[in-house]
Amino acid sequence: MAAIELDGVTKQFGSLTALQGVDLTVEEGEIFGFLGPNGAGKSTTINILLDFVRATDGSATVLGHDIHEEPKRIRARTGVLPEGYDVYDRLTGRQHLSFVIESKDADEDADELAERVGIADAIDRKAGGYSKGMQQRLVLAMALVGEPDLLILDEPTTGLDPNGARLMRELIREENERGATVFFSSHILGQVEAVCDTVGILQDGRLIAKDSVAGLREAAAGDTVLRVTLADGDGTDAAVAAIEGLDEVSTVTADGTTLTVGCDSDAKMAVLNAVEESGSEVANFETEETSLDEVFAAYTEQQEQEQAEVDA
Amino acid sequence: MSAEQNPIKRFLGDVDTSIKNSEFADWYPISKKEFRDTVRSPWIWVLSFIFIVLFALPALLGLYFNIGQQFAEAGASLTTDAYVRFALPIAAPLLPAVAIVIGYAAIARESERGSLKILLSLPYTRGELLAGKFVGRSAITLIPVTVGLLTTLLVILPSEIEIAWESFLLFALATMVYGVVFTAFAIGLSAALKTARRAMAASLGIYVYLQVFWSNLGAGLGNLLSDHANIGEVTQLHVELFVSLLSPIAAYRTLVQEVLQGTPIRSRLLLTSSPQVTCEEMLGGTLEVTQTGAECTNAALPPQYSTVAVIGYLLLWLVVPLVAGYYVFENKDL
Repeated sequence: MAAIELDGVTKQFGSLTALQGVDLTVEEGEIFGFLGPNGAGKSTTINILLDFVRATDGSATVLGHDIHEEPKRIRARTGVLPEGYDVYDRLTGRQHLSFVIESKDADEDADELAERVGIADAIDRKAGGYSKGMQQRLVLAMALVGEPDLLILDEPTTGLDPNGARLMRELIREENERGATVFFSSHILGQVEAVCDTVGILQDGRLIAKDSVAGLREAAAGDTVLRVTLADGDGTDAAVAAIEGLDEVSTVTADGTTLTVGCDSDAKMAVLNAVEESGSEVANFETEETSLDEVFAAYTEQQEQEQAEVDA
Repeated sequence: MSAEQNPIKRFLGDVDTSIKNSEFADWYPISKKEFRDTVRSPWIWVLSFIFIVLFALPALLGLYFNIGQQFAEAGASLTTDAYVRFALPIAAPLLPAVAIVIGYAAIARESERGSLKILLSLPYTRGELLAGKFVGRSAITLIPVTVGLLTTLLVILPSEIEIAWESFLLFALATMVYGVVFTAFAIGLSAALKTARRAMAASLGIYVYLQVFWSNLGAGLGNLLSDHANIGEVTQLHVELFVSLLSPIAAYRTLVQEVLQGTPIRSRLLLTSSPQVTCEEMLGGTLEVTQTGAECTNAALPPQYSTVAVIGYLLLWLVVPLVAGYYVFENKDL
């Protein structure tokens, strides 16, 4: 059974379309990274999953329960770190945790939870005096109450320092090993790349890609970057011409003896052979694997182009 | 002293556990959280303090300056009824203001700030959330009322003022209900409206209207119908009385006056522009002027003006805002 299943979910706020027919499946036990620039509709999707906002069209289930029919049963098994939340300034960390423990009918120890997120020494202080990062840790601890089957984390690393971000990743892995499905949204690719099994990219309310991290890189691999340094500059032009003749190559630029080649990831040997055949000697070469940032940019640009064509 | 040894703590612990285990009390942790959170707001303590002082002040004045004597019925000894007569015009306008301040932010403020997202990611329906808020905040409203009443009793006990228990307790009960009604009213608006500011403006606006203008509404409507629809004088008085009773403030006042006078009829007559016509032609009684004021004897009160009906009108101000607020809240995007 899928942990999260969206089927043609559309959401309109007045004349603004926030989500447009989103279909998405998150398998049980997965760590799913939900990527997209700000304003793409990530939070709207999460708000719909939690029944904070009602979809204009389409349907969705979480842990097998319809989001609108049985939101309470979903929330009983889900831990949430919402976006744009606020803590209760006048209540202590312990009071926050006790409230959630009581609400979820769990029997955890507030001190242990605080320990896990590293705010044990501040547990009896009022949460209004916490730093943003500590509040984030507190709300994360609240999300962990009751060993939820699903964790929904909306931009979980916002406001965290590098230590906090590392802790967040560790907790995500720990919870996943315990058996929880983790769904988290981010616009910071490094965070997603580090822990996710699967990534979905949302842009302008549409899911434009869903794949494993490796698969995504592969898919956008039109542009593995290959840097070839020639032994001398005499044959540069001939080498460029030879490389341009290859089908797998998309771009070639020359700068002195250095050629920068954008090509399919499996075209390396073909490029090197072409250079040798043109009469130049390869002094050095290196490949640069595309970062997810570039993958992301490639996807979103591609999407924009298609959109422009449709509009035209 | 540990919880096991302290009988009060143990009792409270038992109550806590049994409510928690009850099938219909899923909202209970919210009400507890709500109480803990709200009780720490300094504003509420300032307002409560003012309320308590003003509420208990008549008792102090009566005790030390014997001012209450003039409120006692001629020939009767001074009882707490004189205190109630003095406290009623203070509680009637002041308690709604306190209750509104306690209730108006309940949901709208959390929605604005985003803590509502934390609450609703826990296993609660929106209805349970509203119920928890209502119970928790009503408990806060009852603090100044209870403390005010206890202070009064403490002041009165050692004095020569006699405590008329029945009327005092009925007054206490009516005042508690009155406070809870306005708390519910403000929470209902807080659930329906987008921002806390709007909820406060709307609830205070309606409250001021009820307090200042409603009493003219019944009479004005009666006159209008009499001028343009040719209704008779009795019908006109019916309109006047019925519309007046729909105000929660008038309903509370007339109920307490009824307790003091022992009969509903006289307190209802005071709400009309012509007690004599009301008594004789509407209710079929005889108006007699006695030592203690006008008395309407042999009259029959129609059911829509009975005690039960007036309690119903008062409770409408609890039920309608909560139900309407729930309906809007349930269907809106957060």
